[in-house]
Amino acid sequence: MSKKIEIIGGGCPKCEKMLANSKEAVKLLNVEAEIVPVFDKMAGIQRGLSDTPALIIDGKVKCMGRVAEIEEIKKWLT
Amino acid sequence: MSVVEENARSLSNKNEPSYTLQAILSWGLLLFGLLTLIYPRVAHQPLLPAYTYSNLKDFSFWQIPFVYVGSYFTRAGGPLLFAFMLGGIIASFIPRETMKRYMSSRNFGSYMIGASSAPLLTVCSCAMIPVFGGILISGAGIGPAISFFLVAPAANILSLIFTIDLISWKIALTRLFFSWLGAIFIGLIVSRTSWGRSVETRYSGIERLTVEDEHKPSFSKKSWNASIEAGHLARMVLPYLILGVAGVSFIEAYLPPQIVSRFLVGLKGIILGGFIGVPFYTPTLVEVFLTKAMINLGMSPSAAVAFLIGGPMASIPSMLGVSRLIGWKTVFTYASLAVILSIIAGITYSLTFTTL
Repeated sequence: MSKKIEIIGGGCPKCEKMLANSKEAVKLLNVEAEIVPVFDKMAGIQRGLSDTPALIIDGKVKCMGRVAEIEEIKKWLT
Repeated sequence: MSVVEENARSLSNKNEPSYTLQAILSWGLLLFGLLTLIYPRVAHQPLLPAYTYSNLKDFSFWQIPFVYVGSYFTRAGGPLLFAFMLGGIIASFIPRETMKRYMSSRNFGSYMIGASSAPLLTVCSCAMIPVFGGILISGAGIGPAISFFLVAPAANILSLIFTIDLISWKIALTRLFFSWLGAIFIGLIVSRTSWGRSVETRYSGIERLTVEDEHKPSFSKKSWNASIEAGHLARMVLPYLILGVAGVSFIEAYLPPQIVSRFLVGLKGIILGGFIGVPFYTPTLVEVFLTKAMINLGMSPSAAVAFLIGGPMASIPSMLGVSRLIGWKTVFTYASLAVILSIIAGITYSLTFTTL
């Protein structure tokens, strides 16, 4: 089943890094995943997010306010 | 057993590599930057050779920005390093989550925490609106959120360091003190307006998400992260800073000092200083360089104080950005109060430190 990875942020270098790390993690694990960057600062607050960047996998918030490492993202995807 | 192996063994969690060398580098950079900041005050000459010029107008139009930026770069490069490393260390060692946990109830403490932590916690300006939104939907409500949002640009630690270094510690202190106190007052006032309260209720239904974070990096890993964060910060700030200072070079070269000394001194100067910051958006740190140029041209320090508080607090882009969340009534409320605050600060400065 394909996983949905969302990255909510404002487009600053941290959000780009989170996006890059996610893509790398997906590639390394060779899983099916849809990566959706949402680079709009207002989008977060409606969902209860209080910091960016935020990483959401299948609707669950895994990381907020810092850039997750590739190893961490791999762990969350398995 | 080498030091690296010892460190690797002593880590209790899984095979995490040791970051000792990188940590030493990070703290070394911070200390070196601090040294370039302190040394000139003690030895009365810069630590590294600085390129200076006697008269900006000696240069041609196209040379001016390069000379200006180059001169500042040699003089301010060390302090910039310190500022970015400090920002990185703050971002790496003080997680925003801890701050938010203490700011979740509608009592006076939340205002204090919001205003006091804002100078430290907004090293990444892009997170300002999300953090503002986060405080808004927490138990603390709109008051502390506004206090935080006002202090962050006006008393940002990077700006304060450069205000001390380039302008004067008296102005920096006034800036910090009035931003902090004023922001708390303005937040309190906004939270008592009917439109402020309606914004609060509009967002009260959203549940704020917290993340159970098992990620606990070691001290050396955090130190290395500090360098990475510093790099992000530099990547975000430097391009606009260089462009901004280049723009300031033309102002210092070509704006007639007579105009500045006619309008930007005395009480009229303080009032104008508070107001001109509003349409005059400047990227992070540029406002310090611009103020320094204006002071060189004859602006009074008290007018500078007003500009350095009113400008960041009530800048049009940040007002536009946050108006989508809280509406224009609330924005106008805090913006006009911010301008009044900046004028009061300027007047107080002139009464305390100078003659008008």
